[in-house]
Amino acid sequence: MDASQELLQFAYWLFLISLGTTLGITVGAIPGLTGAMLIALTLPLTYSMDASGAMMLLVAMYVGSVSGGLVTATLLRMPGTPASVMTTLDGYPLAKSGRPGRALGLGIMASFAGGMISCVFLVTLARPMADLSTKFGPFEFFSLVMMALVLIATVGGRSLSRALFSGLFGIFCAMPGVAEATGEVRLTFGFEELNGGLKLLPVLIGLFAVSQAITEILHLGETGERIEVRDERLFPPLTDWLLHGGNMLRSALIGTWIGILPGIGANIGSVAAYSTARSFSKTPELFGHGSEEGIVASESANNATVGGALIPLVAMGIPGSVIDAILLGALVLHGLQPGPLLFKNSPALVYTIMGTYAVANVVMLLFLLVAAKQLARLVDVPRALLIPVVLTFCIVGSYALGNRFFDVWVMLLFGLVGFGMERCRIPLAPFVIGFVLGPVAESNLSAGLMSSGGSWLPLVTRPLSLTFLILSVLMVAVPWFVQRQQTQSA
Amino acid sequence: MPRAVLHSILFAVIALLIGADVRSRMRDEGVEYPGRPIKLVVPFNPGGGSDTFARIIKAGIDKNHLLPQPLVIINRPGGSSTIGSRYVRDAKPDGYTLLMLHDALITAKYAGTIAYGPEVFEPVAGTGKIDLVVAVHEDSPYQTLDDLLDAAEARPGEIVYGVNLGAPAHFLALRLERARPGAKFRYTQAGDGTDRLQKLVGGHIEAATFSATEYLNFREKGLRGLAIFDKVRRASLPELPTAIEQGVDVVEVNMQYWWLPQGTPQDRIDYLADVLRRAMETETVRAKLEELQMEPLFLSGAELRANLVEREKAAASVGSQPRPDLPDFPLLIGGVLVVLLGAMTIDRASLERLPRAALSPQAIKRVAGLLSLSAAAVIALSCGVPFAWAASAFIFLAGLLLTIDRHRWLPLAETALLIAFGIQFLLTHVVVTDLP
Repeated sequence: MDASQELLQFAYWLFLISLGTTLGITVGAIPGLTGAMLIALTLPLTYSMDASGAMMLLVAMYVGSVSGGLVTATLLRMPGTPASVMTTLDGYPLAKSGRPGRALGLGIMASFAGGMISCVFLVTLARPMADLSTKFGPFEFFSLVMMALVLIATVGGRSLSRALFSGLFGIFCAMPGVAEATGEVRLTFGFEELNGGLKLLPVLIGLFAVSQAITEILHLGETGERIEVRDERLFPPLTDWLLHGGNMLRSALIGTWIGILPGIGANIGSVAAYSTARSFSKTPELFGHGSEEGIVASESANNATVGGALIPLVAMGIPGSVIDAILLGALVLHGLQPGPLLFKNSPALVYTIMGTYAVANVVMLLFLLVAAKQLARLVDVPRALLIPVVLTFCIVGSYALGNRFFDVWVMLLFGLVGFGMERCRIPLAPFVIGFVLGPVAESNLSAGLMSSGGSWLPLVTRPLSLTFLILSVLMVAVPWFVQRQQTQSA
Repeated sequence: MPRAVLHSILFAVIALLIGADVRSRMRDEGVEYPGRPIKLVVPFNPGGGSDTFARIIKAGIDKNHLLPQPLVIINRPGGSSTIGSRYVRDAKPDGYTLLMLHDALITAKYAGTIAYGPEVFEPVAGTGKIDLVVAVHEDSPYQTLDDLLDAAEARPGEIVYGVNLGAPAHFLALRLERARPGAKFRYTQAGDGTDRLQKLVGGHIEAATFSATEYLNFREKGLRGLAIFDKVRRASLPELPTAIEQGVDVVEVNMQYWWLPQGTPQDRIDYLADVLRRAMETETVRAKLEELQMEPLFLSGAELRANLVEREKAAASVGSQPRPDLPDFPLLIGGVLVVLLGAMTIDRASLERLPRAALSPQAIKRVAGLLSLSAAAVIALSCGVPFAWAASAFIFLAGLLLTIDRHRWLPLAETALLIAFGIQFLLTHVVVTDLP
């Protein structure tokens, strides 16, 4: 490749990352549109791109969508995405008190710092983790997946039984079609189209985009009160970086760690960092009334979860959040085998993902500094228009995947299922993780049972496998026990 | 900007988009096959033997411009190659979805894992010979094929042999068992070549079948080949003895076959067979196959059919296998789900009152209306209504249904047309995907 071609290629990559980040931020800033929706709908369109281009676009969207929510959270008290709920608590009061520029600036700074700090961990931790996981056999993978499922059920939901139900329902929905282990067809009820199973994308588009669109109907006509930003300097002075440095670092660490834990997304990360920041703060009474530390903690942590969640994705093929589950689907769609061998077979792609993550954070910083003031206007886009357009994209997206109308019907059906689950307060995230990891768990358990001659013993005799199982049991038992103690003492 | 100017600009853009659509429709009518990219489905992971071979052929086609349209490789692994083959079987028989799959299509049918075989496809061509290799980990005590079979005879059903159930890797091992009465392996589902490599290196399986290409790719990673199953040794693997040399009378050679869905027009089958034949003759492919020491065999037409009949006979001789003894997972999960449903009804107390929007009668009406509109749009699309028109009608009507201010139908109509034709333009000209 000569220099001009290389330059052109470089410009194309930069274009993809910038496009992804800005689209992600825009969608993140519009209440009712989420990053998961955007990425699920974009994935089918990347069909004709090469794998690295597609991953650049999608990872950049992921970064953007987690960041964009802070604008509407700060200026309208409407979290653009669930990840920025905690930002509304302090961002809006601070903006309301006449310092909207400062509130936005702090949020943007913290987002950038959180992203870059977790990027360091992504680059340094992914490789050792991948190496470790090559030692995993089928039984270890099975117990690891079990742990992931239990983890999301206990941490993510308010009701353990509902969260577990959601996760298992996800596993169940992944069962029709050809069983990975035996090649047999099951649970298709005579539908030939079900032989390949329910596809990830129509199910996800239904659960996240369609059900969200239906929910939005209930919010027609609601608008927030917008705070105008006058000519204020957004970029915080150097003293702020020093002042909030410790908080940023701590929150980013919490965010990264929570991101690494499979199945838990950005919202939990920002909640955890927010409450930790409050307990460390010299002025905890300000939290909830425009505390700068609160904004920094929430935004730094929710961006850090993105980098954290990418670690198990590239190292083991285990998604750390709902969006990572879609990225996992993207890898498969582009012919890459997620899992420990990804580093060996396509190292370039792994580094592309890491590089994209870093560059997207920089693009996010620049774009938000320039455009944050205008982004708040996006909320004026009428929902009556937004909903049909989103639905049109849903239909296109689920059809393009396999050229079958069957998938479109599946998508609509799961839109209803998702809406119903939300109404019954059953969380959706465990469903997705179950849907993605269920087949992994099943095929590993099957392979393990076949090689052990039907014995389940290796699950507890192999040390790593036993560790994962004990951890999973503890994760269910401890919160349950604590809850019981609390109700008894109360 | 005055409203009128805004509207005229909008109209101009919409007119341009509709114009582009009509023009491309007219152009499409007279287009000759192939008029768009051809998808080549490889039902295995990238990096494996089949994938490597497919990419060699693709390189030959691309470098020598044998196809006016790109050939796009799609890996659809899983289910012992049945997921990919089902995908192509169910595809439109228009010559745009091609399957490359070796003997697995035949063996899976006779193993009883799938109910169909070559008969539901149109065979296009057979290319390149695939040699099979049995390998163990380099630290393994087994130095020769005999050692392995002796162990399998001494401890029947204990040597863990990684296969893709129902695939040629499995059939080869079954033929080994027949050649040595009393020998019995314990088969485990180990996925395709790359997965088997990982499991062998990780010590989770003791022996596995690889294709010779895979063995060449992987051997530095800790494999020891025990035998190759051709009649003679391979020049590229001179150190690897044949099974016959070691006194095990098993010869098993596979081929990569190319398939189209049943009902594909004959001229398209012939067209692709010709492209493949010319690809096999190119310097690009020849050099690469030379490097891998693969015979550039090519079969099509009657020769191909005869070869397939013979391969089916060989597969039928091994007979079907009992399904592995596994718990009934769907039943298990279903049972736990029912238990959890019970738990959920008891668990009400722990639920906090989460805010949720009220379901007003008007909202219910809107939700129902929107869903019926979506269903109507999908039905219209599956009946062949052009995408852009169906989408504009859908956006317009749904917008009318949801909008509170009913006097704004003109901007709504404009936006609907703009977005519908915009999506169509974007997806047919900028990124190439299939529209309903």
